[in-house]
Amino acid sequence: MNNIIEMVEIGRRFDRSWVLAHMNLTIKKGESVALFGANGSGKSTLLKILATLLSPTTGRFQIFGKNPEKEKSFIRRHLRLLGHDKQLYGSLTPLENLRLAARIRGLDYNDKIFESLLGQLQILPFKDQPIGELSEGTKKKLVLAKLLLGDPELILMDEPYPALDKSGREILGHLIHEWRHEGKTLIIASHDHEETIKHVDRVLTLQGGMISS
Amino acid sequence: MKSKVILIFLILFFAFAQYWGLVRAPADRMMGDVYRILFVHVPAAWNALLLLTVSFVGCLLYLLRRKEFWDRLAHSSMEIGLVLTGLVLPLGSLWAKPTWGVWWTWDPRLTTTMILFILYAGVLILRQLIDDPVRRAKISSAVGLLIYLNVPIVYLSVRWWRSLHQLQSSPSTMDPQMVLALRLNAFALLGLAVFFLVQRMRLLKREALIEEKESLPPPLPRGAQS
Amino acid sequence: MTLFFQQTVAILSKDFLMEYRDRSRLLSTLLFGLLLLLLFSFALSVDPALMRKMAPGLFWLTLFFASTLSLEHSFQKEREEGRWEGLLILGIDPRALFLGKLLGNLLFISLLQLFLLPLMAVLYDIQLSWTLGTVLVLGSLGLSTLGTFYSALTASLREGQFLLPLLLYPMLVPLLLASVKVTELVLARDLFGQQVAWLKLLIVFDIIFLLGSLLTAEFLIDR
Ligand SMILES: Nc1ncnc2c1ncn2[C@@H]1O[C@H](COP(=O)(O)OP(=O)(O)OP(=O)(O)O)[C@@H](O)[C@H]1O
Ligand SMILES: [Mg+2]
Repeated sequence: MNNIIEMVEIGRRFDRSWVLAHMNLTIKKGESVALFGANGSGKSTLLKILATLLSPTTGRFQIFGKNPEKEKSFIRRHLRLLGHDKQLYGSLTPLENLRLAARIRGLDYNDKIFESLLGQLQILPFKDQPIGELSEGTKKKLVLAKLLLGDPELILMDEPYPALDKSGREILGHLIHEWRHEGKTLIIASHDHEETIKHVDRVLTLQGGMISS
Repeated sequence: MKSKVILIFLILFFAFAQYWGLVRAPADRMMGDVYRILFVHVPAAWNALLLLTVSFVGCLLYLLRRKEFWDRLAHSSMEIGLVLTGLVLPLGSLWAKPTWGVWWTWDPRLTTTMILFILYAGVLILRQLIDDPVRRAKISSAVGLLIYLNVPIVYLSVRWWRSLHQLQSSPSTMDPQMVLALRLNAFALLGLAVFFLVQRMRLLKREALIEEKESLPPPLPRGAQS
Repeated sequence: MTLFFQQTVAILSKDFLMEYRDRSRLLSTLLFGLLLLLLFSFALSVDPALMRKMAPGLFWLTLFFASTLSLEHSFQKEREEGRWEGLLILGIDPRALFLGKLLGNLLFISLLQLFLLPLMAVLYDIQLSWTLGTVLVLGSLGLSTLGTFYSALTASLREGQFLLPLLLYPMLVPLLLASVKVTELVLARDLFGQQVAWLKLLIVFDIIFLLGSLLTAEFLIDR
């Protein structure tokens, strides 16, 4: 079982238009892959399908060797998605947001762990401030901290760079480095080609609903 | 072609059943000719309930089997059941006015029918709002299930809440000619309802096919490597 | 199983915290309830005896109307910023999410009742009693079960919020009848023991819809 993702002839349509078509994709365990493509080329759609949040219209695929129709919860337990949306609660503090995510994940962490995560992302000083009052970049860092909860095998990132400052990018670079070292599989969709290319083994480009590499 | 023949036959049968009800069956001792409206009212009510039961089965089987066929069955029978339910109410009113002297009473059957109508109309409106066919089928099946479970509860609660004397419309207390007319009409309407059900399901299937054809995935471009 | 309850409690306490931080929703709902009680009494009668007679019906109607706002909000707030998807991807059991929301709504409705009851007692001159409490709990359980179900449903549509009352209220008819009847009987010191039948109906109603909506919640909540 070396392939973490196997997609065969995946297609997805919204109303009458096909966003993805004839998509064949194999990603090996431990690979780190960049996903490039123009606006609207279907990067986010592909990542959502991988995260079992959207079902494909045609084709079939497997993640971790499992069928996403049948073993949704197994797949979800072993992957993490950083999406366009921050998935945070504005009136809760960073600490409370992390605590909620950990409890839903079934992780039995104490506040020390959360604080060290926040420290790692250099946002510890904001830990007790409602998120609604924080800057975009700070929120983005909190989203990154959420990725660190538990021990996901597959990490999907949809545009991780916007809103991050220089130090934020360095931190993320460092995280990615560690993840790769630990043998995790990464997919990064981004428009920031230079930054992304530093961290990946190969580049996939989405065009006309298909991968051209 | 074949369905046209069947339709003509069904209409003729319906006309025959109506003739039996309007002419052959004797006038009622108490109500005179007014009661004859029951020959449409009662069959409509029976068939409405039958079709809504069919739609319940469709909803249940869809959730268990996930085959579009069951969703089409649930959808079509719900629509036809709703039309029949909509017929039952005014027909009942037409009968109630000369008989009870009022258009409407808070009789449990009437009230339940009215609520039923609103509930099922709600599901059909709901269907309009969901674009994705799979989600639409899942959600409306879940709702259809819950609504049907509610029917006996509504009936029971309204009956306990306020019950007028019940009018028995079962054939046992009537003249044999009347019974025959009632049965004929029930079957005639059933035939029509089933006919429309089948047609509606075919139509839905074709719509789905067209939708699918029109939006086939674009063919692989020549030489494309994916 | 323990994870299931952990998730349920996590959702419940998160919602509690959010509503506590932003109390304006609770406050405006309470005031709306008070306002409804006043409006009903203006519209209907000034005769104290008549008011006392109508009190149970008006109480439950007020509760239904006033709770609709917060029921709708209960899933609507998960739609912003991809929170709904965020919960799913964390691996939440859709039924745990449903149950957590249901308990939150039950709590909210109970608070509303606690506020409205003394007001009713004063404005409409009725007697409070412990048996009344049972009815209130059973009634609000049914209301929050179906309310949560339809809240999840309408929030998952792109523009379906307006559908909530249309879909919810007709479903609540038996609940309304039973609750009002038992409340009437309790207030009238039920001489003929009729209330048992109605209480049974209430319990059956609660059980059927609790099971029915827990079994189907997944279809509404998951993609
Ligand atoms: N829920 C939806 N309903 C209808 N159309 C959608 C939906 N989601 C995406 N689309 C369409 O799918 C296409 C691809 O969208 P997607 O978000 O995957 O692009 P993207 O590659 O991530 O673009 P960007 O670089 O702007 O993030 C777009 O044309 C978009 O309009
Ligand atoms: Mg995108």
